[in-house]
Amino acid sequence: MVALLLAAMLPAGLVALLVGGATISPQEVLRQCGQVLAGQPPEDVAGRILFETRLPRIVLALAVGAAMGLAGLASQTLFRNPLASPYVMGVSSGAAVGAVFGMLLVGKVIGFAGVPLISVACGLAVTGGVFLLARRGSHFGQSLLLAGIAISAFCSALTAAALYLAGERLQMLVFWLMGGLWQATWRDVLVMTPVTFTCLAAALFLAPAMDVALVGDRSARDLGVSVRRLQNSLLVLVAVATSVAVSLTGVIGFIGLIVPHLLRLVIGPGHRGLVPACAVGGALLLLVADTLARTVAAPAEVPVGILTALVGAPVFLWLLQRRGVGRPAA
Amino acid sequence: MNVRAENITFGYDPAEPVLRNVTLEVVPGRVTALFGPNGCGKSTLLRCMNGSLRPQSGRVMIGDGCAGDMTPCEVARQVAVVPQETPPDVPFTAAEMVMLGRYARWDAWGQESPEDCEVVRACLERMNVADLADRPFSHLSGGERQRVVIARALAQQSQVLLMDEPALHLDIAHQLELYRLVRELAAEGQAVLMVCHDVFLGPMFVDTAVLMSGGNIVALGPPGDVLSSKNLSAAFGVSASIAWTDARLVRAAFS
Repeated sequence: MVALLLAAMLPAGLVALLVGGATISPQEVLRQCGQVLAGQPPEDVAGRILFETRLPRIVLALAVGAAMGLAGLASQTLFRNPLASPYVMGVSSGAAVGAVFGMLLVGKVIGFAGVPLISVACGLAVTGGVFLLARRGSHFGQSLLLAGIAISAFCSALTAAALYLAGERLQMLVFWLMGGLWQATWRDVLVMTPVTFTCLAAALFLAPAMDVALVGDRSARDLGVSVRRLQNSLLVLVAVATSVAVSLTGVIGFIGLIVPHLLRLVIGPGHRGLVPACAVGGALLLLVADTLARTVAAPAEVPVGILTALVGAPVFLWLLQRRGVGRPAA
Repeated sequence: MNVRAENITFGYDPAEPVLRNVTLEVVPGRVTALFGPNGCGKSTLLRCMNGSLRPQSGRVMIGDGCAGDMTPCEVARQVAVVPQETPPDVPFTAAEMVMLGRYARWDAWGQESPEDCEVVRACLERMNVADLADRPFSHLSGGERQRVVIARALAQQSQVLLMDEPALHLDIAHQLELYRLVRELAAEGQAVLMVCHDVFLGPMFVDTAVLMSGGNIVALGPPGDVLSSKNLSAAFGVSASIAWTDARLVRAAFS
């Protein structure tokens, strides 16, 4: 399955490279690729479009999609709840608040390059807060969920307040909030890719314990899992992957929710298979969604967040129909 | 390997201890059973014995190590637990469920060795559930699930087995089978501690009976002595009339 998804990445990437606002012929793409591989930097417009606009965007879509797939899987296992996603824990809303206020207040002072940093810091801070609140409760998973939902609502209110006060920058904020990859640069790729690979390695390492965790905290401990350490690791993984992704691309919904679901149906609940599959599946899905987002209404662009939610929600409902609401993460 | 609780006091709320200064040792080759009314601390004591609950005072020794200093993984290689209830909503098949018992013995990346598969197969067979191996755990009956969970504990290949009401959900034939298995395991050198509510069948297979009441051990010894009319009447607050002959219950009446 992983191999199949990996194999599908290549044609998806090629198509993504070929389509777009500017028409560049396949021959031209080949010629440009040859040139760059030979060590010459792209000099004409077509070359710059290919290598400074489309390619970083493709790579960023893959890296962000993979991180979202992993974060979604990790949160569903953490809560033993198929409805969980990084969004219910407040990570994304926290990162969004950080980004929005960053753009409004401090962007001018420290430059917009600093906005992602503020965003990541807020995402992590919110997760930290939720975590501390939840650890006081007796049932960690449930407390985490409730605290996350409450803080999420609080952050959404802050974001709404920021929008209300935004004035002329309203459109920029709204567009950012809807999520998209149109601003992708190689610098973003450089930030996201190591995060994605670190999360993938961590998730692979945690996979056996994640399997055992599905039988419940008590039994998992009896079987040898350090349950707290696993929960903390998963939480850090979700927080880091999500807040970095949100800081670069805004809030892109449903990938984290739907990818683990779909793949569980196909390859079963074992995490040693699910972890790599969710990474590759998330990457592929976001790449396809982003390619669609910039072509369906070309030359205009649909924010990819709108697209993933528009397609994702019905697919998710259909899955619920088929499997029955409230079934375990299976 | 011995597991020894030394003067442990434990309360979910430290102000209201569930266990008061309890000392108990489980020994290889012997079956020890905890009897007592609901809420007297049997399950809590069991959960302290593998370190999953930390006593507020006293300590639990697993072999030469203090349970409080061992990682769950180290404990799981030596002590297996059959919990009272296992939620049925687990997405695994019976065989996958039993394989989880091997977790403490997997390498860091969770590679299942051929030995793991062999152990899982043998444990499924020993519990008479080999034919259910590929069925989803959630589709099994209560008794079948219980036997799969016991198979999972056996797959841990530990030296100590802690069972919380293992006969729950089992019909009379499977109860007998279970108690015989427990005797077999003890004969193989395992130390077995189980919580038992069954004063009719269970005691016949037990070496040491422990009667608890209000967080204390009130009697400990051969089942015939411990589960006497007087002791049971006092512990359960009923009027019990019990007669034993050669460690076999011959008559029991409660009112």
